[in-house]
Amino acid sequence: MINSAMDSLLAARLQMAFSLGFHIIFAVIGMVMPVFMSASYWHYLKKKNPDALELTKLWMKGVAIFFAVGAVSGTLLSFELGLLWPEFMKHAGPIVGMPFSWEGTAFFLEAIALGIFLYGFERISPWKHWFASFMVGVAGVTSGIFVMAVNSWMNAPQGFDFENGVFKNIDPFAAMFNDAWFSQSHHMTIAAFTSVSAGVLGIHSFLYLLGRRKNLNLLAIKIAAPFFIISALLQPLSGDLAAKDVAKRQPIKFAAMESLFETTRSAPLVLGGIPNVENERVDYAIHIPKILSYLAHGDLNSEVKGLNDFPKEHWPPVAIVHVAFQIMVFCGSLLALAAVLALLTIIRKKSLASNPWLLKLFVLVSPLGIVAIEAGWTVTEVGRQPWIIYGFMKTKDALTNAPALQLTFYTYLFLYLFLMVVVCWLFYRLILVHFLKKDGP
Amino acid sequence: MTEFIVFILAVALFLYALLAGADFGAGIIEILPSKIPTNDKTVLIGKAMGPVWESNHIWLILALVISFNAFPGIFWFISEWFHFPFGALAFGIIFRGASFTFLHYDPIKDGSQKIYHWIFGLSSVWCTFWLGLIVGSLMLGNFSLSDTGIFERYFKHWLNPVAISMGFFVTFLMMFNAALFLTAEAKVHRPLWRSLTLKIFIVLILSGLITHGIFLAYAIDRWKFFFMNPVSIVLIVFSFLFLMPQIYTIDRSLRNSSRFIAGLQLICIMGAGFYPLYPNFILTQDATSISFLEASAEPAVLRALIYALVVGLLLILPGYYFLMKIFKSNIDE
Repeated sequence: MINSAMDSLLAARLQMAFSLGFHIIFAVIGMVMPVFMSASYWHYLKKKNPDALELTKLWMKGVAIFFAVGAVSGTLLSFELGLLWPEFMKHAGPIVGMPFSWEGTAFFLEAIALGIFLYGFERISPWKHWFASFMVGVAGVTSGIFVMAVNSWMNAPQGFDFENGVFKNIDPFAAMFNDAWFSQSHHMTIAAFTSVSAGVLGIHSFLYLLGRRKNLNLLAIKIAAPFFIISALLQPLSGDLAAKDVAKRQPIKFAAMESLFETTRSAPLVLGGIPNVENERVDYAIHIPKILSYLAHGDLNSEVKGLNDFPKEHWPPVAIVHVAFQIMVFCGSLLALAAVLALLTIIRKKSLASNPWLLKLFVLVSPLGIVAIEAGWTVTEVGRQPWIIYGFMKTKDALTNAPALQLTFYTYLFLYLFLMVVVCWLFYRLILVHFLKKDGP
Repeated sequence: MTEFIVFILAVALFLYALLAGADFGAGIIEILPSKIPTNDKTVLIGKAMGPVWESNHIWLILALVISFNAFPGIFWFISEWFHFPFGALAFGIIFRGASFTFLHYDPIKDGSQKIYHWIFGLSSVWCTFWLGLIVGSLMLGNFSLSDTGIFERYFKHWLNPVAISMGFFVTFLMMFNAALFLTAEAKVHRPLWRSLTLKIFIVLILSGLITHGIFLAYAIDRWKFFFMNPVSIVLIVFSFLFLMPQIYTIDRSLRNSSRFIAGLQLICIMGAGFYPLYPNFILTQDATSISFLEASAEPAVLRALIYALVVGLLLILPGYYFLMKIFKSNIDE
């Protein structure tokens, strides 16, 4: 049982972290897989290739599973926002309500379109049916972009006057189109495409290398590869824009990402390392002169603010933010490298499948996209601490007074782990039926 | 402006109670012992609910979004004072949704189906019970806004006989709703479905009488407030009067009419519960209240929400209609 306020706060934050960390996997799959499913169905309708139809149906089952689990975990999140952070919702609800309501509309459309697609085979005309699959993808991506408006507002709160602790004169449109929305939205949307396409490429490459259903797996690789190459190559550019935005709006978060303790001109980029917060240095890191200044402000000699410019009670947990940021950048870089190799293979007019090493590389990098997303969210959320609304409301002030939050956290942790195991098991059975059993589907 | 949003909120809650309620009730019926073969029940429920179950539950998300957007004070109150009931409900929703998915999308049909089946059924009972308990607690209003003690703030208002009996009553109400719906849809074992509906109806009436008895004994003033209100009395009488045409439509397999009447009955029951409260949503024992009109957000927020709701509904309704059309052909097959 928890008695102190800090324990309750930590339990609530951990519960939220696990809930978001679990939901985000299903959310990105729900956003991107319908696009692949739609592409595969298009291929079938155009070329009448039976493998394309089978692939569409296989992906459709996967989408149904991931969408449904994502829907329930998303519902749970909407409960948790109120149950764990009632003061946040009381003040922020009217301000961020608009993107939430648009997100609800997009999600509703996604559910309807998915229902039509799942049950519409041979009941509606093929192209109307294809349009439903396309709409699942469009609505999914739109829904994600609206949710990003809410999170970006927490990082760049605007669209209100703050008087005596009260949010007044609310302008929902200014709040929704806040300064961080664009940079966070494109970064997350591209990340969703990179991570899901990397996962799809990895799984189908693995099955191809096993020699199972080669034509079907090759088709899956051909569909996912362009999305992977484009998104993985765009992501470093998107990341650069996002980093410049963070450096401008949340310099303390930026300093924590790089573990920069002192304000520095011509600041070096820190690669890897373990932050030693007590002694204000980073151990075992590689320093590349001047590059951080360039990445932050586009000028090799510009000044980058360090953590010591801010009161210590406003510092986020530096070590967590730094390590998470390094993991995200490392994973993103490896994925971009894999994309370059894939692009070179295509430029040389060779089939992706003609190079087994490339397929093996796809298998190896396949989980890195999801790892990068989890790490990226850790940077965004932990890096904003101790604020829930940056500069206006501290996380501890938004917390519920309800008792036994630690117990709730452990219960939810068990629930999410259990669900993850069951979903993986179900996914394995789906692959088993379609690829591994001798008698096929 | 506020009234319009309250109306949309009421519609969302009504549709949630009707559609998701039928869905919850169907889950309970699935594990209810009866003469209908289990496999036939599972197939019918899967066909009847499958295409729409995700969209059914979005009505709840819509209600939540409207609440924190337009009535943040009410949302805060519900979140804080019903922390544990809503936490329990959320837990049930995730188990239920996940087990439904696994039940219908697991490509290998083996012993695991039985586990999904039971989790789905038990979590359906769990969810309807907590939903009913929350409704009962809101009607009883056994909270004082100045209470700061842990028990008074988080437990007292729902840990009482009225709220608990309402939890059971709503569970039976959802089962009855689902039984009506499934009887109208059933192509085989129709007499068995009718008999099951009748049995659930008898239990529902008994449960309703017990709940009333407990309410009367526990809080007679509050009982009078709800059930001596002329509008509430008329609505309750109507909900009973609709039973006759309901039985007729089921007997004649008039599926759409049967659904329509089930909807009217539910409007009457929900209206009887909430009409006396309006414009308040929370009315406490010490006569303090939180009203929709006083707790609403600034006009600019309400305007933006109305735009979003109107445009959203214009986008959603044609798709929803189309889905229902396909859904009908799915059941007919």
